Amino acid sequence: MATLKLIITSKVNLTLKYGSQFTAVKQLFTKLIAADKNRKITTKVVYIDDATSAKSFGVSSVKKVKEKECKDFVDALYKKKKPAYMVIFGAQDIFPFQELTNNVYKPNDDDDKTVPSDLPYACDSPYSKKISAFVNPVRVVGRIPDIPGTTDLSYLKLLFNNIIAQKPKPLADYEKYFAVTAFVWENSTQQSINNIFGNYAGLMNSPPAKGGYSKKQLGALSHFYNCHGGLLDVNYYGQKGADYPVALKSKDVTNKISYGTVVAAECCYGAQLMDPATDGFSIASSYLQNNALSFMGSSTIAYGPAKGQGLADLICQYFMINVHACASAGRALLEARQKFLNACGPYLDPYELKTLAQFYILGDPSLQLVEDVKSKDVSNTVENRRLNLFSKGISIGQSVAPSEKVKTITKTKHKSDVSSILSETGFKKNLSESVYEAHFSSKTTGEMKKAMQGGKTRFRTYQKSKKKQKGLLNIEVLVVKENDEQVLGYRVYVSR
Amino acid sequence: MELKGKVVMKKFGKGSKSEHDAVYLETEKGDFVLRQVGANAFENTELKKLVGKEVIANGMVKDYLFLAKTIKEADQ
Repeated sequence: MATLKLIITSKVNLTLKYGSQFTAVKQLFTKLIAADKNRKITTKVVYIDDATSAKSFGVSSVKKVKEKECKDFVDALYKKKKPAYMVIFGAQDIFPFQELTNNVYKPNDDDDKTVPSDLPYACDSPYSKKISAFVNPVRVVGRIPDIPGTTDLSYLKLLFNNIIAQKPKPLADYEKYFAVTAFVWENSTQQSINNIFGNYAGLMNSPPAKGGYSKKQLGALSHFYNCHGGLLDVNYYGQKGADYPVALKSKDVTNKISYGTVVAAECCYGAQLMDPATDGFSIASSYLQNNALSFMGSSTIAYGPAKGQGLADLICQYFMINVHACASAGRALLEARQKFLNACGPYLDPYELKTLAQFYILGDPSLQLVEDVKSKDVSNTVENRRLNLFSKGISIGQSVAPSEKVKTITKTKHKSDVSSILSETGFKKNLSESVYEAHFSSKTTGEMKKAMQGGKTRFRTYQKSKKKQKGLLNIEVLVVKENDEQVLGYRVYVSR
Repeated sequence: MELKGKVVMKKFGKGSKSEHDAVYLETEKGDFVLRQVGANAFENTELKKLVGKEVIANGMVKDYLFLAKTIKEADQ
């Protein structure tokens, strides 16, 4: 039985954008379908807004290519066909991201009103604006993007030809890495790089790293960034004190990276797709244009913990580790999401939820970059893995309790304990407070389960600023976890 | 579009990976992170010189950003 891969896109939007060149786009689909056949993958194209196309898959077409319609369509399609891979084709002007409500939105603080996300397409939950509705990822989903606002057929041809030509390479090839971190996050990134590659000797700090890397440096097949990034910005930035040098320019990778490169970028807005005519050519688009095959990054402002590892550190390193463990790029992301939920759960604070939603992959999710180590003793079909991942995802969804922001803030019952934590972590007592509540379903049965999971768990968040050198401020977020009985713990997330 | 307002420094992205002291333009239409087209988003000495001053900026609004092509002091 051949493995099924569905390419989902909008005929109307492609026709509007590409005009007479739409025929050439369809020819690229045809070439990919033929190439996938040799990989024992049956690939089909589904036009969400074409009645004939949709009907041939047993689903109804949509009248408008809007978020809800797209989510409903993808769900219906998945139920009918249970594909191993779902490929969204096109940037956000062809097929929308799901714009989820950002629960930590606060003007001049976290300015992202929404989190553009592909997570809902991967989840077994109906359409919603809430990130908390999507804590059960079960599907392998990725996006082959074109360039927003721009009709560039040569770009698409290059992406498709790269996908078609791809063959898995030995792990040793992907163990060579290019990694850059903002100097201030050196220790955290060393841990991430060590977890992935078993050493961090090749990790570069920025500063002193300031772009302009050699072809030899950028030629490594695995790339990892833990730098600053900005909305509609074509650069990543390092940091040491008040010095924020450009750590990578979009054009730095031009003609310098190797075919088959995989990227994980923790940076804020690290995987944003921009219209070159108005905003510049994004780093993600530049990587794909220069023969990278998979780019994993964030749509919005990303977070990390004060010390050690957490949030963006985790989901990015999980992805890269999974790629190295011979997973397809799409499965690498799905398993990273599941592992992230297991690591953070069962109670999910609002920063963990934002992290889960904001990372996506660009590139064909069916590409397995690292070749399997053949074994006579073990055999596992793609379909068996999908069944397992579906069950795991459903199970995870039932085992976590995502938090929601409460409108009316109730005072803590543990004033003395919270005061002590504020004092110990250097936070003042008069800081503004936000409260998020998480609880398991009211259907929870069994006396012990009710006793352990019946009540509400609250996250109280506080922010403070601290003067650093040259007048720079460093803001920290304290998240205190409590229930009615006691304070359960706390974490500090620091601007990195 | 043209915006008139006061240039101020404020913290951006508290607790995030892009936290930094950012230059904002406070206007009647709201506050925007002020960035010059093509300039370093995290460190801009020229913009910081305008802090505390009233300016007239020409450019475009993108979400919470004002991407300025020109900025001049209002009283010039």
